[in-house]
Amino acid sequence: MKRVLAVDDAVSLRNMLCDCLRGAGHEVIEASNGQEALEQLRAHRPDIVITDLTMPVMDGLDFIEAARREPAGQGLPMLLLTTETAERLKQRAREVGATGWLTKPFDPDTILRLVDQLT
Amino acid sequence: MSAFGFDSPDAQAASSGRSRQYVTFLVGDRVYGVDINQVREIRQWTPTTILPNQPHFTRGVLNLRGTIVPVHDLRARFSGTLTEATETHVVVIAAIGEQTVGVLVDAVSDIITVSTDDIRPVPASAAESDLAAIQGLVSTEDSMVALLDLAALFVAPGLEAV
Amino acid sequence: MDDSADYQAIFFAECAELLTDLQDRLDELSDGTGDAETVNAAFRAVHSIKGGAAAFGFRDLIDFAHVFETVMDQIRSGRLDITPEICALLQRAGDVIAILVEHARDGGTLPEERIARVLAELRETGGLEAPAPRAEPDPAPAAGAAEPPAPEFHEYRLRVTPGPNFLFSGHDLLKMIRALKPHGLIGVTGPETLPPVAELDLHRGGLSWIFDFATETPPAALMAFLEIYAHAAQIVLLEGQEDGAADGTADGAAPAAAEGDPPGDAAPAAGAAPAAGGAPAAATRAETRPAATESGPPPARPAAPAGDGGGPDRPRVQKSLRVELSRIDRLVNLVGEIVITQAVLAQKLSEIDTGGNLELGHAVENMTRQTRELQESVMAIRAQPVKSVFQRMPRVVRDLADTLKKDVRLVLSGEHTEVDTTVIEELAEPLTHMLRNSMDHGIEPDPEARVAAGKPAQGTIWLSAEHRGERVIITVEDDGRGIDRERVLAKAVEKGLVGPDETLSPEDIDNLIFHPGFSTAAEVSSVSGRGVGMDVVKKKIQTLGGRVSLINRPGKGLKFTITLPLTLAVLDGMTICVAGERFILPLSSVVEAIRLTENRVERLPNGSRVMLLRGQYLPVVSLRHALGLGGPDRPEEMAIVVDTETGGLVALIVDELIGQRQVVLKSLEANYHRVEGVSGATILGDGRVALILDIPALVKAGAPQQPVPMEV
Repeated sequence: MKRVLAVDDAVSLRNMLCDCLRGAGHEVIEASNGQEALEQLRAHRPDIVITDLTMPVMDGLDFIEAARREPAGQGLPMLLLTTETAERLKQRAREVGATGWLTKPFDPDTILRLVDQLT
Repeated sequence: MSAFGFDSPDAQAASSGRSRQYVTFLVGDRVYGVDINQVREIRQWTPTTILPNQPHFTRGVLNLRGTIVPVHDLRARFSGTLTEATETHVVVIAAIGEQTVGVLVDAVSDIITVSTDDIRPVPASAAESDLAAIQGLVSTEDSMVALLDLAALFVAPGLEAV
Repeated sequence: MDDSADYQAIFFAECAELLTDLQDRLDELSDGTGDAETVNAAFRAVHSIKGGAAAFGFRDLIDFAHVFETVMDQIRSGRLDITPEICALLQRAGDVIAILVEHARDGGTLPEERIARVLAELRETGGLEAPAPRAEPDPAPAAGAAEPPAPEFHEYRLRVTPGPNFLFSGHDLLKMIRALKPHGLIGVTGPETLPPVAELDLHRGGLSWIFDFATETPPAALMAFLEIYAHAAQIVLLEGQEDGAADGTADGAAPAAAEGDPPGDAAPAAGAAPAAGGAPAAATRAETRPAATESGPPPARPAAPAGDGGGPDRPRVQKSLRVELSRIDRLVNLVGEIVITQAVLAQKLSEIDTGGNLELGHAVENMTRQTRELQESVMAIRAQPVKSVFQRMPRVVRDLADTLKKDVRLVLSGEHTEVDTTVIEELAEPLTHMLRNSMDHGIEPDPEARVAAGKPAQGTIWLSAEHRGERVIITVEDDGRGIDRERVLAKAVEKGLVGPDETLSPEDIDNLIFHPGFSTAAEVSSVSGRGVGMDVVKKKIQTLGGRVSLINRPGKGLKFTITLPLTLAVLDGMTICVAGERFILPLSSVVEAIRLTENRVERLPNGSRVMLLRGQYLPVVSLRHALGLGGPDRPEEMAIVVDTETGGLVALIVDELIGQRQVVLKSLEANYHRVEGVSGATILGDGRVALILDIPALVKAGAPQQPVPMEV
């Protein structure tokens, strides 16, 4: 069982993701934007993070960038799960230290595989 | 359950599991019953607020802890004569589906347990429109109880309004 | 899968909010009040809708949102300027996306032609090419599912060279090795040239490792598995078997994306999506091919200057909390009861001798004030700006302008006027009908006719709201041709609503449009038709305790005025006594109270009564008669002059005037049914119920002998 931090401002998508992870026996911590996620990260020290990109308050990229400066974010797998495809965003994702870039619609098998693979 | 069983009447009631409780009350010398599940409370009569241009048996409305509840006069509903209500009269507060109504009667009498098998239909010859509101008849030791269908008595007339 | 419907329900609820937000932003842009963050927020709204749509596979919605979003993105990056034309296009796109969301939720038929047109406009504006028709099946099958059913045995060797950002990106070589073991990793050979431990800097990367596999996993699946490491490590297949067909497909995704990110959804879905778009690069030998895992393709496009919502979000004006209405209703009811109990308490206390205890009196006064404040605060929770219903109206107008081929703009004002939420919910339907009426019958079909009449070619409809005392006034005004009285009268005569010899005042003729038997809509049934006439509007407004009236300026326009109570929960009332019963008159209708000793009541030859007030004869209605109450035949004392709004001033004869008070409205219908002449009930200080009177209905009932020009 891994501790997964799931970040998405859309409750429907977050619920789907959480249910998928919980169904596989993982512990899930939720956040609805990057700011919240950062707090959850500090408080709960997850094994892996799966985050949306476009969110209010703090987006996924800024969150990852900030998280990489935190002790809890060192070596932490952090996946972006998004509908974005723009190369400049991907470039930036690489720069800020995202572990991977997944495009929605998410495939539960892939998510679960990556949670196992990366942690 | 076999249609050709040799069960005693008591056993039948038990095996069908359908015995019901009714609250009975008096209007004059008649006894009426209402399913206990419908009865919310019994209140002493207090003057109601008259509603304009309503059926004669609708005595108006009262305040039941903040909700407005209509009060119907059972005597007037059946005989046309209004009850001369005093403090000794009671209002049975009952639920009809989602709605709550009050029924003005002379007095509450008893709670009886009746097997559904003991409920007799109203004789067809007597089946006038008013009697359609009587679900059935039950005999007790000292009287005959008419089991009321409150919805047929008090809700249906209102449907024509609006 | 059972949950899927739940997720969708949440998604659609979110969509509703997003659409509202989007509409707000687009309005700001159209008004010129928007800024960079407005564009960002609008982009985010469209993007979020797309994200949800993607999760549920609403293909039409995804495709449209994608193009919409791309155009928004160009605006926020400054590649497109915000012009009125673009704003108008964005509005149309906003409407279409709302339609698509509704369609995804409710099904039905789509206005394909309109969607295609807006889509084409967006593409043209954004310089986007229409995608080739989709030949392949839409959803990308998962990588795992793509594995061929018959397992083959493979042996191959990979060279893995973690890049400088390997560890920084959250990767870990040991974890990677552990994860690869189930895929047949049989051996790992360390770097050929290992620097001394002291100089070993794992963060620097650049060391190569050789991974040997003996496995049934085909190369394609393995590559999919490894793709997650792609940007942080160089992974090269050194030797192995010839690629299978599946392999080529799987690998094709990444190079395709690397070559310039076409506008379509060509995402190099990490490990997830084979065949997202590009034709597979046909590599013959694995060895020579830059694997799908080559790191960092160069940016295909110049990076856009505008930050991607990098800064903090637009400051939320205030935090809000979503609460079910039923909870608030419970609170409102409870507070209503407290108000009543408090009144009872105050009354009882006033009846007993408190021995001159002033503190008790103060306490009661305080409590009275606090209860009133509590009630106001609770009512304020339910107050909402009419905006939530107003902002649906531009779409109604645009839809209709499209159908009717009329050029009409809608001008909104007073959207922030707050009204009780119960009222707001009920407003959408009548407002829509009124707008339809104005669009259909008011605005001239021919722009030249308008210009000839000295009006701008474009028609205008003004929708406004404002508070006036305890009521809200909503007006719908257009600059169309107004009501053609001659035609309306002819039609009414034809339908037998008016006798051929009757003479009606111009206002009476105008009001014929509210008559249930009158519907000019029958002629243009496709628009304001559906058998719905203005009579339905009138009835609806009346059930809300409101009134509707109109001012017709033939040739110039038509103005409807709706007045509504601010809330359906409390009301300022005047308590009166009739035949020993107390009743409440809505204070908003009361003009003045007069002692009958001061003004004489006269009888007309037909028996009806009138009263002279300041030189004007008013019809007199006895409430005792109208309410069907007998009671002691003592002389009535008071006349209350009320404004019936449709029938002018009327004098109501009552026994006694008791006073003014705010009352909590209680429903008669909850446990009974509607009673003609009664709009509701309340509970007085002594716990008794008092009825709140519906004055127009009572006047109608109480004065049958009065000549009523129109049965409106």
